[in-house]
Amino acid sequence: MRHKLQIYLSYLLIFCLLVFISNQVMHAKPVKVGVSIWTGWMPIYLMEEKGFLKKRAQEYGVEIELKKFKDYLASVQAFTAGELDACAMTIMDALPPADAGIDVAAVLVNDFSKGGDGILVQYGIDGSNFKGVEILLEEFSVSHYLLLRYLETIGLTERDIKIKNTPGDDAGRAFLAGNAEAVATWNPHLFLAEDAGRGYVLFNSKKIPGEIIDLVVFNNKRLKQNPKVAQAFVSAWYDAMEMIKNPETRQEAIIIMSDLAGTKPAEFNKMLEGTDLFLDPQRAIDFLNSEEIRKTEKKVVKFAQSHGLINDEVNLKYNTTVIQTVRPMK
Amino acid sequence: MSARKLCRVGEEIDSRLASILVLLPIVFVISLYLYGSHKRHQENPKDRMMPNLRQIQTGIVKTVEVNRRTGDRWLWKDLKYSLRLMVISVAITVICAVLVGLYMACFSAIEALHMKFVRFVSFIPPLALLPLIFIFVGTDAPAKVLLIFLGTYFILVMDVFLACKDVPKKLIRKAYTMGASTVEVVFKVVLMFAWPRILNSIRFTLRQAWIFLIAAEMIASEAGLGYRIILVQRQIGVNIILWYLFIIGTIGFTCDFILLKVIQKYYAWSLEK
Repeated sequence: MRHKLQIYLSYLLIFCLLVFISNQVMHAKPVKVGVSIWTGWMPIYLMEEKGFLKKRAQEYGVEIELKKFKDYLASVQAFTAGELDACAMTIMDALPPADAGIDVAAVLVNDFSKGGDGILVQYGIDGSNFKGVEILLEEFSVSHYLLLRYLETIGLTERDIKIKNTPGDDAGRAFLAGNAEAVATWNPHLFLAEDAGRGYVLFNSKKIPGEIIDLVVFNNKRLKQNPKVAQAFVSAWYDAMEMIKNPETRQEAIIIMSDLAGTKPAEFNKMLEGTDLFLDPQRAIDFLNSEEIRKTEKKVVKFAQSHGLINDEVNLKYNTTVIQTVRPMK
Repeated sequence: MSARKLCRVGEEIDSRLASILVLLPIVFVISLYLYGSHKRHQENPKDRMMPNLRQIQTGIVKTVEVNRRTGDRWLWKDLKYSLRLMVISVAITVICAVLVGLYMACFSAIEALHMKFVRFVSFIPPLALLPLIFIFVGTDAPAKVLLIFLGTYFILVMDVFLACKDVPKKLIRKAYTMGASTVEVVFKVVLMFAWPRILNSIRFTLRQAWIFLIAAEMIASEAGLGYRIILVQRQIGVNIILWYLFIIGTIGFTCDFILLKVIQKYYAWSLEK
């Protein structure tokens, strides 16, 4: 008796497994969009939290899964490997995937850094004695780019200083601990260090507006197959922008975003000050179509080439047609 | 060789078959990789996530030739940097762990002083202590040595302690009866008897040390095997990563092999059962 029961049970188990597997295969896989924690991308978390993404996905009849990465670089790698259909990244980090044969299309510009990235130095260090300084930063990142742009202004090159590779957040912490004479990093580390009287911001992204750009890029091949996904995603983004713009709902949005970013609302407000969010679709369209972004791309491409990020000439595609289809929520 | 013989517990196999079996997993992994890489390149000829042999060759050349931007040969610089860090950290760890473990096993007072503390701290992941390490020792070489030390010391000290505890009491009593001093008993009897097992523990410590070496080189570095692996991730330089992993594997394997041979040659008595 017991023996028979066991056999029936195992048949049942196998049957369930088969049903499960066939379900997995038959169902269209949801489209995966990668995102990581950064001030300019917190609205993406917000649009999931408030249900904008789900509502828009239903409206367009698609399924979108937000893949939240703790490690930004891992999200870029997953995109390059083809594991993600879309990903939030800076214009600079969008170049290597393009060089590795992925057809990359920028469909959304989230923000550009306006003081959110900077070079922190201890008191007493400035442009005149910057030569020979030892600086902690994440090599090949926007911090590295920012440093080179600063060095240009004071007539130095990379060889005149000593770079020590350190993840940006760790560099910020090391500076706050008083163990670095200079670091290139981002907020909240910049204002935390200034508030603590550890040093001051020597140069920041306000001086190079519109060069450190955050984008949401799509794998163009898959975008063409299913453009509705991008439409749903971008629409949800502007729903979140509406919430941030509206004085009545702004406070709630800030509280949710700061919570998800693991900071306090006051701190998050400060971080938003250093981030120029593109609140209106029209501004994003104009920016993506502008000469400005091509010029920036040229500068960034030059940096990427000289630092081995890319081997060939690459061109990103800017797709504004998606943003143009955005309509307000019903 | 008959199939029956192969299925018997503890039966020796002949060396030809053994060498074929050694190669089997290596060949299997490499062909699986090459197949996967080929598939990816069919779809996207410029794929860099699973580089093919030519891309790996380009990567190797890039690490041994003089780099245009930085003006040095990456591989030599990285090897020099990592090996120096490794030797210093492992030497400090081994000396501390052997001495402390030995004293713990010999003297109950030191055991009481150290044991509970070590057992508690050994559960704390050293990487989580990074902010504290910044504050107390900064971000330079001492911080890296400390990180590797924290990652390896507590396991090794427990191993040494257990190995020294296992020394037969009879041996110690005999040594005392024959007029040995305490210093002689500790170093000439207990340590000597436990030494082969300690060497074996050091083999495993080396494994652990490599892991923490890579982690240590994530912070405030300008060269090193781990540094390069992390750095080229941004360039999607998987070809260089694979090459460096091969180097790390080779160095690790060689050290392990040498230690094993030393144990087999000079401490054969400890292997007899």
